[in-house]
Amino acid sequence: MKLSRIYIDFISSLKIFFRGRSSFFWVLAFPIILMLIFGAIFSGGNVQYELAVQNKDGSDISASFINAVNSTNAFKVHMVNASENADTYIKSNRISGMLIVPEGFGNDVQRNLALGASRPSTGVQVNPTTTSTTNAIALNATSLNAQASQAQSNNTNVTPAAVILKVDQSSTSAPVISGVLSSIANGFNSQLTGSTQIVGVENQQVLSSQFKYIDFFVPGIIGLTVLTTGVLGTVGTNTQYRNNGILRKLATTPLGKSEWIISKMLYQTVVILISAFLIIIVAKLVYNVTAVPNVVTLLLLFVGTICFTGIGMIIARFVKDEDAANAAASAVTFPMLFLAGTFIPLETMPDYLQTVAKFLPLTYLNYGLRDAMILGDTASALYNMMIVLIAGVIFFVIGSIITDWREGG
Amino acid sequence: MKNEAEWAIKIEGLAKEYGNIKAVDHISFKIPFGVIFAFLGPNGAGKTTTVEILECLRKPSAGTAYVLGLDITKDQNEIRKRIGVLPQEFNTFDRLTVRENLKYYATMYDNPRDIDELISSVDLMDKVNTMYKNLSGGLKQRLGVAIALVNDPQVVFLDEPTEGLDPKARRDVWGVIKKLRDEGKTVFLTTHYMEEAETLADVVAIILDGKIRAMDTTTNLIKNHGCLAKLVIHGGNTGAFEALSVQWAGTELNNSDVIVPLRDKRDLAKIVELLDQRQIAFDELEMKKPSLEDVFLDLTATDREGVS
Ligand SMILES: Nc1ncnc2c1ncn2[C@@H]1O[C@H](COP(=O)(O)OP(=O)(O)OP(=O)(O)O)[C@@H](O)[C@H]1O
Ligand SMILES: [Mg+2]
Repeated sequence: MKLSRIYIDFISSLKIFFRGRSSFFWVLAFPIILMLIFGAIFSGGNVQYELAVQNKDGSDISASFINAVNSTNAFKVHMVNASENADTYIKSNRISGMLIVPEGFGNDVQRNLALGASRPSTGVQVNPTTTSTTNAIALNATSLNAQASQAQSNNTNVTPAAVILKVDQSSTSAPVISGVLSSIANGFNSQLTGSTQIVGVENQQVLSSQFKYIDFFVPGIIGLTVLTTGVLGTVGTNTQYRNNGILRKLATTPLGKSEWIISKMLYQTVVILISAFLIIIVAKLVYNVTAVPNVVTLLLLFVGTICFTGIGMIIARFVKDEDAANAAASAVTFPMLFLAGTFIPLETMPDYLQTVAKFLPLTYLNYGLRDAMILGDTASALYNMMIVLIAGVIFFVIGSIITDWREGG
Repeated sequence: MKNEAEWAIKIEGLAKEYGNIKAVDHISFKIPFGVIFAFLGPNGAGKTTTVEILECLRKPSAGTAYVLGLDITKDQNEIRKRIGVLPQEFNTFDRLTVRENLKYYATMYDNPRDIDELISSVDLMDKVNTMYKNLSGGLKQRLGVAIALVNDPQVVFLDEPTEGLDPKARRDVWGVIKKLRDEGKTVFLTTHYMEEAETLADVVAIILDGKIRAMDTTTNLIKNHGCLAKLVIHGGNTGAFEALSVQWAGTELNNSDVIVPLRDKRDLAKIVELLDQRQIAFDELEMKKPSLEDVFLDLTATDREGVS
């Protein structure tokens, strides 16, 4: 192992990257363009989501829940008379979301608290409005709060006090509305439980009064950069250099496979850091999102790079044809992007998809980046980082071992 | 002193199989130091397979091979330090300049040669800052040769160094290769151009279907396998071809030209007489010196006879 060899390969890789206008553009500009597009679609500048709220329960608790919803900048709340028929109201007012606090909500919460449920479990129940989706994507009674659903299963006596969200599932605002509401429910829960009150209140503040889609999305876009640069970049260089014979030439020199892999990983890390830096700057300038990159963020980016470079090496090892390899890399990255909650909050997805997400390293990278950059929850960020690191070491070691320069390694 | 170290390259019973294909079929030969060795054979003969085994890129199925006295299965790291390689269809980093590419490979070794000196030895002085992708094919190959020399190797492997080049560019690359002999390097040159082997090589081995069919100095090969000379009857047409092919095996009709290999000193007189007798018309007669090509055709012809 010689540093001079790692250094020259690293520097050369960066030169090649910056000189290749299109790769340069796609790697650095694409995530930013994507962020601007999604930002425009979902937050539309300062426009708030119109949310109709119907309170069928007269209790203090329901009033304070609606207060919490009201205090969020995300919604412009229209109160609807309790006697109104919800479906008719939605149709005649062409409204995309309606929150119904059912009768007995306050009692349910009180009862749950009295039953001593570790979590009082206020769930948000999503009902698709009948407008376009008649064969309702059965989301009913999906508790969007993972902790609440846990409490549910632990204690069969507890029926969660649920508020009902009627929302057109086909609309682009649906995931945001339900995402924000579930955060509010989450915060509300924490506030009610004595045990986790401190964290809960803090969380509630961040989530319910400042949480905007773009806040959620900026770390996701950085996760996207780590994923695509790591996987697509590694698959790209490996297959390209193998097919155009450069790897074969390198294999006749004293350059070791490990030196090459280390150099390429450092190079990917630098590209990712540049990309993340640009994303953060643009997010600040355009959306005034203050995503603060701290040491944990840097660690997350680094372990993410290790992980996705490893996956890239594994793909490149088995799919040798350049086009097929790129297709395989896309087949791995794009579903992962969606399933790991890059574009829409995981909590708004059906249960089985959430289960799939638990097996994706990107999920933890996204969580970790959100924890570190937006929520300022270092402990949780480190926890997520450890998961990515473990997955990363496994993929990286396997990838390094099976990467073949010569016959028999 | 080990016997292996007396030779630049020593191969014994070397074989490489891919399923049923015997890419290299138990070949043995020795190459002395300081010669240009041409490994001549048609496409798919097994040249690259052999070379890449010597470069420690592939593992042989059987046999032994020593490069500079070093065992290719055990001393790979040492071999890599001491050989230079121009792979078939050589390629290097598109978006690095000539100098940056050379610098890159120079850094791979402990005691690299001076880069500027190398650049001038392959005549690329005015292209030092040109990116590799913007070089013409001939210049790319010359850079490839320079890169192969960057560690001042004792043995240089050049796999089809002039493939696809125009005649001028080919001659320029030949010039660079000839200089290597003067520097005392051993050159293992792979090619399917007879002319290239004939111009450059001291020793030629002909490989066909994974087997060595002949190996000798270039002059001896031509003397032993070729004909004395070739008579070209320009404008002889089918008339001349039909009249002569009966008696002179290997007679060819190439467009309107008839080419007759002469194996006996009296052949020429006989042919002229025959043409005259039968009043066969032609434009002109030309004598050609035999070349490696004829050796090659002779060898492939015996192959075909063996089959039928
Ligand atoms: N990796 C491989 N897998 C299977 N068959 C192979 C492999 N490498 C070579 N062969 C086969 O071995 C034979 C010899 O190939 P090789 O590349 O050594 O020929 P060559 O003399 O270098 O030909 P060319 O002039 O086309 O470069 C061919 O039939 C080829 O198809
Ligand atoms: Mg070849």
